[in-house]
Amino acid sequence: MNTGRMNLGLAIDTTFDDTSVAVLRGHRTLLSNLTISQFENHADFGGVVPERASRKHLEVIHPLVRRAMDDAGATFDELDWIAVSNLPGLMGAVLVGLTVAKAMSFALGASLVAVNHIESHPYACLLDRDDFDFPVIHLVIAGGHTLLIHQTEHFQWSIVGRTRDDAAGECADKVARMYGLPMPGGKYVDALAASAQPGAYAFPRPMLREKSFDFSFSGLKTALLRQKEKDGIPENLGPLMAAFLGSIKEVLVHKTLRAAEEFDARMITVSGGLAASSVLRQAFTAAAAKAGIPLALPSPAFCTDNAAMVAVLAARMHAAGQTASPDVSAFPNLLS
Amino acid sequence: MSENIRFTLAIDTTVHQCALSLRNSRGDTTTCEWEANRQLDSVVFSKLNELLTKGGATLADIDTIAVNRGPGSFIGSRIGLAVANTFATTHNIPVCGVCGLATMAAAAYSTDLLGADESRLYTAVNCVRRDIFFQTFHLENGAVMSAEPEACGMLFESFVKHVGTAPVLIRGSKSKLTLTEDELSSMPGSLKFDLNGFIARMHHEASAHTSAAPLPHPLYVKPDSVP
Repeated sequence: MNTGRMNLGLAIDTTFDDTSVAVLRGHRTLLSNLTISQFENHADFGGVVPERASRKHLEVIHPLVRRAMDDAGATFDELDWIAVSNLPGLMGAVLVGLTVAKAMSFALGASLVAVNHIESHPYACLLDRDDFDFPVIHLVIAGGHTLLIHQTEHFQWSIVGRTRDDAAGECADKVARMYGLPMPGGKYVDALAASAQPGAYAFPRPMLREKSFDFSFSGLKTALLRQKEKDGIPENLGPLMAAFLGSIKEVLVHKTLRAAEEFDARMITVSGGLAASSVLRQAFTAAAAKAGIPLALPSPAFCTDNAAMVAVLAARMHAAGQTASPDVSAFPNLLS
Repeated sequence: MSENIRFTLAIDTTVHQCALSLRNSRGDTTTCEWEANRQLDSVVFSKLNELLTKGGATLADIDTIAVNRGPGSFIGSRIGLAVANTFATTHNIPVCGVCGLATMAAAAYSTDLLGADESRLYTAVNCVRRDIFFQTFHLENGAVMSAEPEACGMLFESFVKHVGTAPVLIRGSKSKLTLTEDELSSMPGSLKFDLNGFIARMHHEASAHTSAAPLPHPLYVKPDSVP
């Protein structure tokens, strides 16, 4: 373990289908961040198969840890903390990362830090900036989650809005599959949407005018299904996907800005896999500028699941003494 | 620890009856057994701590790790291998992954468990519901051989018919999620599983292991993979 220099930590994320390992010095000096995506391993099934994901995580995680340390130019005995996302996620998948992290902590005498994967998504923004300007409204649009989070200081947050059914990203993936696009669907939906104007179709803006900050996207998905049943799959999917993503965009932007106003937020962040969408990034950038509220977006590479964001949050937790005991458990849900 | 005393560590978390064992270069063995629950990923470390303290060793004193790759509980197998492979990664300790069924057979053939005229032996594991993972072994010029390239899976009722009166060494547990000991021992050729003999065989495999092998992975069996 090191003395007299900035702490060094290693973070692991295996909550879903990506295996990711990062090494961080201090609060934001990222020395390595490696991610192995499994989507090709699940493509034949049209979605992630939990048992296959768990098996793959174990196959790749140790070589990945070794390479992350090599890339960081660090040795194992220099590590001060080992962090891992222990919730939410696929239980079998989380358990692989959690057991490896506990074993590293045991073997090296390093502190264990257990991180909420969803809480860590906005921290990808802190790879590029010193800190948040609290209070913040975070929109997290990651996989099965669409959440509006009100954060007053580090580790103090509450959920003010969440999806009541499908998450935005989940809806995009399902619509992509419905229209024959490959996995990961959100990426193709965004590319097509960016190539066209949204006015050709009129899709619903679910819960747009409701007071609640909650979301609902399953009706929008159904509208796309009805459209397909009526007209089939058009040769040019651009206008259709532009209209579809336009609906999602309008709801997300409107509710996020309204929540920022309601909670007197001094900034907003947008993170998670769907935050890599160029259409959404442009919309949020324009809307935040118009509303006069600062916006932080992680670079697209750090929007999808990655261990770097886990490491950035973990470094702050470690510095605040928020370490975990070795009997910390894995949890499938957002809150343990 | 102590001058020049080296250790092998055996890890078996593939069934509900988990075991960790430490053997030193003098041949002294310390073993820790427990019934796994949903906190296996935590308990394994407290048991490991307990074992190392009791055996007077640290991780740095361990020369080789033998780990049961299965077949057995998928999650349990992954936890054991995640621990062993992590120690291999952080401390450069060679890991020897053993097949549980082959190790059971090797342990049985090294004793007088089987009659003099018997060579064919079924080894089997029940770790969830009524599923049995099994393999057939025989001795060939003193070596333990298997007719099947890998373990198979069957429901207990089909397995009983499949085996008939042939000798079968079957490993179960006291879990509510598995077959009872009475059901397992009701098979005509049923032999008693000896955990100490099994662990001794794992240490033997660890001692004979060369360091160049890649990190082992679990042995997964499909429940309905009839031979």
